[in-house]
Parts: sequence; C-alpha cells; structure tokens
Amino acid sequence: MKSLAELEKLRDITKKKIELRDGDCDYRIVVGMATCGIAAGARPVLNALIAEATEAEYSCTIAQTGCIGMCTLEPLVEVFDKNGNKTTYVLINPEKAVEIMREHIGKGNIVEKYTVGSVKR
Amino acid sequence: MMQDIAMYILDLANNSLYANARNINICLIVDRQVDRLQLSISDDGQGMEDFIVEQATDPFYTTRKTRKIGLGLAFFKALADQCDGEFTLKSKKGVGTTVMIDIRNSHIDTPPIGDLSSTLITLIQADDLVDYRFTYRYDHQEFEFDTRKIKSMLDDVKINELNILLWIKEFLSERINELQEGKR
Repeated sequence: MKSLAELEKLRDITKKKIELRDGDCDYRIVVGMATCGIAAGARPVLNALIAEATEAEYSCTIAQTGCIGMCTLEPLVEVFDKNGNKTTYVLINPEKAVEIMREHIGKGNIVEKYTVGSVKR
Repeated sequence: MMQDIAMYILDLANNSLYANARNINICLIVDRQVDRLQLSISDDGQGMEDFIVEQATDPFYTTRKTRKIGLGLAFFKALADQCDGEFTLKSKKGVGTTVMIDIRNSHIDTPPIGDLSSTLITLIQADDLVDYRFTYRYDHQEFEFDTRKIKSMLDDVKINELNILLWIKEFLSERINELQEGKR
C-alpha cells in the first residue's frame, strides 16, 4: 500500500529533479478534454502520455484544453515545438500516444501517419 | 453518452474548471441495499443566471464558441431519465453550481463506475491551483481524498508534477479498489 510517508520521499526526489531542469521544455503537448474528447477516450490518452513522460523524462510539458473543433477526429493531441510549430495528431489512442512520445518528443521525428493531414476526406 | 461514471465526473468537473472554480467537491455514493447511486459535483465557480440554468441541459445550448452544441449536461440528465433517477441542477450567479443525479444502481442502463483514479489525476493535472475533495461512499464504507492535504505535504513542489500525479493515481487506485471490495 502507498503511504503518505512515501509521498514525502518522492517530494524530496522531485525537488532535486526540478533544480536540475534547464530552462524551457522542448515541446508542449496539448490534449483536447471537452465532452467530445472524453467520450472518444482522451482520458486514457492523457494518462498514457503522463506515464510515458515520467518514465523517460522527456523535455515536454503536458496541458489540457477544451474542444479543439474537430469532434469527429477526437482524441486530438497537439504538439508545439519551441518555435511555435504545431503538429495536430488525430484519432489517438494510448498506444499511438506512446509512439508519438517516443518518436516526436524523444527523437524529433513527426509521426506523419497519425497527423490530421493523413486523414482521407 | 459516456461509457462510465468516472467519465461523467471528468466532463462535469471540467465545466466547473471553465467556470473558474477554485474548489470542487465530488461526492459519489453507491448503496446496494437501497439500490441507489448518487453523484454530485459542486463548485464555487462563477455560477449561472436562472435563465441559463433553464437552458443548460438543452443540447442545442452551449457557451462554447467552437460549436453550437453542448452535450455535457444533456448527457448527464439523460442518464438520470434513463435509469429511474432524478437530475438536479442548482446554480447561483457569483456563488457556484451543484449538479447531481440519484439513479437506480441495478438499472440495466446504469454504467459501471469506471476508472476514478484516472479521472481524478486528469483533473488535478489540468490546474494545480484548483482544489478537489472527493468523497466515495460504497455501501457503508467511506473514503475521502482532499488535494489540500496532499499539497500541505509537498512544500513548493506542485501537485501536478508528473511523478507526483502518478503516485496519487496509484494511491487512489489502491484505496478505491479496497473500498469496492469491501475490505475497509
């Protein structure tokens, strides 16, 4: 069982990690979390991103937003790089989210097959 | 419609976040003896005028700008209508909003509880300045979780640091499973 004493230890470890961080993160990841996103499965996607980011300590921040506007393509994940370039990933599930994390955030390669541009009209 | 109760909680508490709430209370009561499931979410957000409360469950009423449809509260009310239940929405401009349902637990259309710990850390992750109190009563056992208590132990480390969130998720999963299995 997790105890609150454990939390204090984790707090001290986290404090040290925060001190070691240098400046801005390389990427900002945004997940759509409105009714449409939630119904389509955005919550497990966000949870997978959090788990993967913690595990591998990628240089990124994760945020949530409301309805991005393409409800039929939810869950939507947007990735912004340091220069403000945006990549929009659509119809994401936890497995795809981890793949995006490893390829795009980890190695800097956009995963074209999941981008909004890859969707057939 | 949402697949489980935890998804409704996430959706409705997101409404509270959009209303700039700073304190959100989530209370879930499952009592198998009287066969009821009650869920309430109350906040100290901006609240709504009476004429908006009247329209709020209409799927073609929404305050968002991206689409002309708002399904969150409409879904929640439909759930109550479907499961021998009642839906209540109370709101006061400048004070806050409370939304609740009281439905029949064994009704065939009552969805499963779902992943409560994922819902809670998703909410906590969204904004570290918002506090949550989550009370879960299952039959006659009760579990309470308060972000203020966690924050008081974290000094200046934010509650939405990712590894803190993961710890909270595991902590909640353990406590919630224990409660649902009747071990407490």
